[in-house]
Amino acid sequence: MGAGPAGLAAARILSEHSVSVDVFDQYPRAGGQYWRHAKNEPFPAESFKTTLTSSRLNWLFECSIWQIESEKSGHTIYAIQNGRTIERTYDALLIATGAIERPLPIPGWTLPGVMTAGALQSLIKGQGLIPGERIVVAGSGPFLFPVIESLQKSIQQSSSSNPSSDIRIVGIFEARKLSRWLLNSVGLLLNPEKVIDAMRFLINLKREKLRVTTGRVITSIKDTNSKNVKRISVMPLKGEKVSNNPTGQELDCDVIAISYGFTPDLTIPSILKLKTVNKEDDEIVMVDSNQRSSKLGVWAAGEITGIGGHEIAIREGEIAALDILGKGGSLTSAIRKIDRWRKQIFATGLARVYKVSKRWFEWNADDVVVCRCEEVSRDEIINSFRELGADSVRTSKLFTRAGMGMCQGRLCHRNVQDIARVFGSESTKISRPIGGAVTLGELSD
Amino acid sequence: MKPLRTEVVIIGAGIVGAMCAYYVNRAGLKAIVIDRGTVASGTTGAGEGNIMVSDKSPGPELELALKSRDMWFEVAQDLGNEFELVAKGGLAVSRGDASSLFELSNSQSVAGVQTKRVGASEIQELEPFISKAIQNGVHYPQDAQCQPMLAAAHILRQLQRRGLEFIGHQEVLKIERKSENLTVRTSTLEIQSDFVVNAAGTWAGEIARLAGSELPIMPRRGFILVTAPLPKYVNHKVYDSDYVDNVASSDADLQTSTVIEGTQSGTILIGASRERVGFDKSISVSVIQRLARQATSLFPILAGAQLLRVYNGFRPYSPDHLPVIGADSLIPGLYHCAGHEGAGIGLSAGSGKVIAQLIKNEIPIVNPEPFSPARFQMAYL
Amino acid sequence: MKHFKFDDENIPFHDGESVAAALLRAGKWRFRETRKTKEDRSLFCGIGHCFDCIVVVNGEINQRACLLEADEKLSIRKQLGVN
Ligand SMILES: Cc1cc2nc3c(=O)[nH]c(=O)nc-3n(C[C@H](O)[C@H](O)[C@H](O)COP(=O)(O)OP(=O)(O)OC[C@H]3O[C@@H](n4cnc5c(N)ncnc54)[C@H](O)[C@@H]3O)c2cc1C
Ligand SMILES: Cc1cc2nc3c(=O)[nH]c(=O)nc-3n(C[C@H](O)[C@H](O)[C@H](O)COP(=O)(O)OP(=O)(O)OC[C@H]3O[C@@H](n4cnc5c(N)ncnc54)[C@H](O)[C@@H]3O)c2cc1C
Ligand code: FES
Repeated sequence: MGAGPAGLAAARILSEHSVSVDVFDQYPRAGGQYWRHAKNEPFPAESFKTTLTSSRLNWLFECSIWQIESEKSGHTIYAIQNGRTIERTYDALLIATGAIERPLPIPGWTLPGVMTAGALQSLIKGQGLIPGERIVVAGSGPFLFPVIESLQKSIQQSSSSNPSSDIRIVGIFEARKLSRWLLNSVGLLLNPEKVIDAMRFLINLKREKLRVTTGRVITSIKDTNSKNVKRISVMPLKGEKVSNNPTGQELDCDVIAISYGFTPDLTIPSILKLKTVNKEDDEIVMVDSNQRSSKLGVWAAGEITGIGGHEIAIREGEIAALDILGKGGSLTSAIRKIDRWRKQIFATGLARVYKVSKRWFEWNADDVVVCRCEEVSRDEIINSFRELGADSVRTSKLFTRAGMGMCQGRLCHRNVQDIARVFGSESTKISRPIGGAVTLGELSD
Repeated sequence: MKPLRTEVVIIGAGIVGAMCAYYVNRAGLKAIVIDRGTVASGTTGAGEGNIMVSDKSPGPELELALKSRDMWFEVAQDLGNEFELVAKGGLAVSRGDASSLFELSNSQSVAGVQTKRVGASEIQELEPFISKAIQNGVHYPQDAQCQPMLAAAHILRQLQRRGLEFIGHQEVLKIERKSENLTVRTSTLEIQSDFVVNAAGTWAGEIARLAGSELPIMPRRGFILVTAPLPKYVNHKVYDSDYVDNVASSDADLQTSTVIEGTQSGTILIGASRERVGFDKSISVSVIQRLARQATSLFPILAGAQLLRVYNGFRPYSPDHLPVIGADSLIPGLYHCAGHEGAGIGLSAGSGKVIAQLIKNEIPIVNPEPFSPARFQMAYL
Repeated sequence: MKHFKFDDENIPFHDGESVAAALLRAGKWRFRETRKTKEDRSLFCGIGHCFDCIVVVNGEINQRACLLEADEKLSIRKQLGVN
């Protein structure tokens, strides 16, 4: 389930053995988030090209899984493809459904032109489009780097093909100071290639006369009267709090891309009722060293077992596939486990460096929409705890409808959880009983 | 630790516990509501908010339902309607032979329910998007609905201003009778009182056992499908009249029939499946499909509606499908108010009032005999 | 270039492009209006998670513009609340 790095890596190994494999993905083509590409472009990773044409693999694209039932005889997947229900039973499942991006609510973040950094990335990589002329990238975490890189590359392309085009990055704001990298020194020692990556990135920025302003966050976005132009306020972040020293700045722009990292997409794991654990406040699927989940015959790999990026996702997919083939104890698997361990140390360190402030909702006294779908604000959520007796994300949701809208809390669950924590609430497990888009008509056939 | 002291302890902060608290408080008694979770963390937070008179046959339950329905509006008047209480009216329809539906509505109107038979053109007027195939129905203007979690929370919050105490996150582990007192214990608290009201819904049997008594309350699973927000395709509570047959049925097989209604947030709720499967919470595709099929055949326009969520809760039921309201036959001072099955929201106000009246030794608003716990406890005496 | 309809305008698109990308390219930033506050919304997550980009497609509400491939047969409207 999922044809991103984790799913594809597993499929590549499985396709070399005589097992029959179905690969499901809701998107029209393989690649997941990392290898997102436009329709007429070749697949971005050379080493997977033969996998994509393997006759042992049966691809089910634009096929959204909405339900799974597990019985002794196997696991039955229910999915919808072109309005038709697909119902198939399997001996083994590998869940590799990836992550959801995590933006933080800022007053004005619902204005058109404000988007997640992943959205900007998907427009550039998947659609060949830079959606504005004055662009700000802000937030926190290593994901800002690849977004800025592809933005730079695509700005260069566009100005070489159209000299009159004038697209600029007008600000890059990273909430955390560079000095926090010391928190990941072990990770860096184990992964020296990452230092080279970072240097290359910084040199590139310099060449373009760009700089990352660290220790700054956007605290408000306001519409100006001019078409699509927004004015943002940027303030220093000291620890968990916004400070006025040095004073903040204001800046005009038309596109604002925000990212504070990712959170595992636990939709499918929650349907299967897999055991989960908390890691850095994220709920992740609990797996053993062979990526086996708590349920017999179900493996999990990639971002759903902890945010770590595509390289870990690939290793995990491979380890899971080897175990599915009965080779969990093999040398090939052991080598991959060592590599996975090395990379996980780095990823865990990164999460420490770029830990998102849990007090983001105090950065601005003004109220802010937290649940975009049902338009529920921070103050309404706080009120549900203070006045109505809510004691968890679940009960707050029953009172306010935060997380009950079209996206089913995919975007707000983590953020409501942060507010809930202030009131002593334990974390609420994610429960999203319908996995993907399905209509009553499709269910009635 | 020093024990707390009060006149009445109410166990359970669902809608039934909240309404018991309301009437006990009105009767001038000091009370504490205690719950192992927070307000509405049981079945009240997992169901719909229909306050129906239309789905009940003449008898003690209908009598209670009629009174209870009016009392809901009195509570809203007293405390402020911050829980979306509206008398939107119900429409029971029949696809084939409507004679049993009409027979029922005739007898209901003798019992005091407002009913109006409607034919195809009136049905289309009431529900412009309903299937053209539907020829017969009965309109019940008294049927109402509310948002039950908000109702329970709002009632308890208002009552706290009137002297009620609410203690959340304390699980009752023991209930002991000592001389004239009942003592309710949790891991960290001890509360002494004259009366204990067991309003623990599906878990009421457990509470009875903790006190040394017995009560046969069992869980009956129900699913509700929730669609994406839609235009106002459904105006009333619309249900297939076979829902009525189902409510009175004891058949252990899976039973489904549909009730469809819109909510203020634009979602449409499709509910009323009934299964007896203990506390198993997994979702079953066949039930979802059956409910979807029934809904789209009643309202073809719903075929394009996205299914957002499915939730299930466990309705508390007793062997004869009537709630248990009244004094325990074994333990003096212990009262039960539980087992309201699929009508706990509607019946809560009346049930709470009856409990307060029994505690105060007043004549209750309805004859309490049919609801008495004694009907199941005779064997243990 | 091929076109699809957005309200009363013709929006050009490249082959394989999403409806959302074509709209943004044409400078159309307002995809829908919310139910409660009637605020304008647009593409937000870009990958089908957030449902902020929903539009009415050939009469069908709640369709995600970021996932939908542009096509001449599409007649698209800004979604106003649930209409
Ligand atoms: C918006 C976004 C953009 C990103 N861009 C980058 C980037 O540019 N560079 C980078 O290094 N990292 C990026 N990442 C981080 C990314 O999570 C990892 O790098 C990597 O893609 C993780 O691989 P994965 O296999 O675990 O998951 P993914 O790559 O996310 O793959 C999961 C796949 O599962 C499918 N899926 C999920 N649910 C269902 C369902 N119910 N039915 C059917 N299919 C389903 C999805 O369609 C998806 O293709 C991005 C993440 C996000 C969320
Ligand atoms: C899907 C579904 C749809 C429904 N639709 C309707 C409808 O439309 N109309 C209607 O009238 N009814 C409906 N019902 C039924 C209705 O929801 C219930 O009858 C009603 O909520 C029962 O309320 P209650 O207060 O008795 O129980 P609950 O709400 O379950 O409250 C019991 C409380 O007791 C607490 N408790 C339990 N054990 C202990 C302990 N040891 N210590 C402390 N506290 C404890 C629990 O935490 C819980 O909060 C529906 C039910 C379901 C499942
Ligand atoms: S932009 Fe989020 S679903 Fe389309």
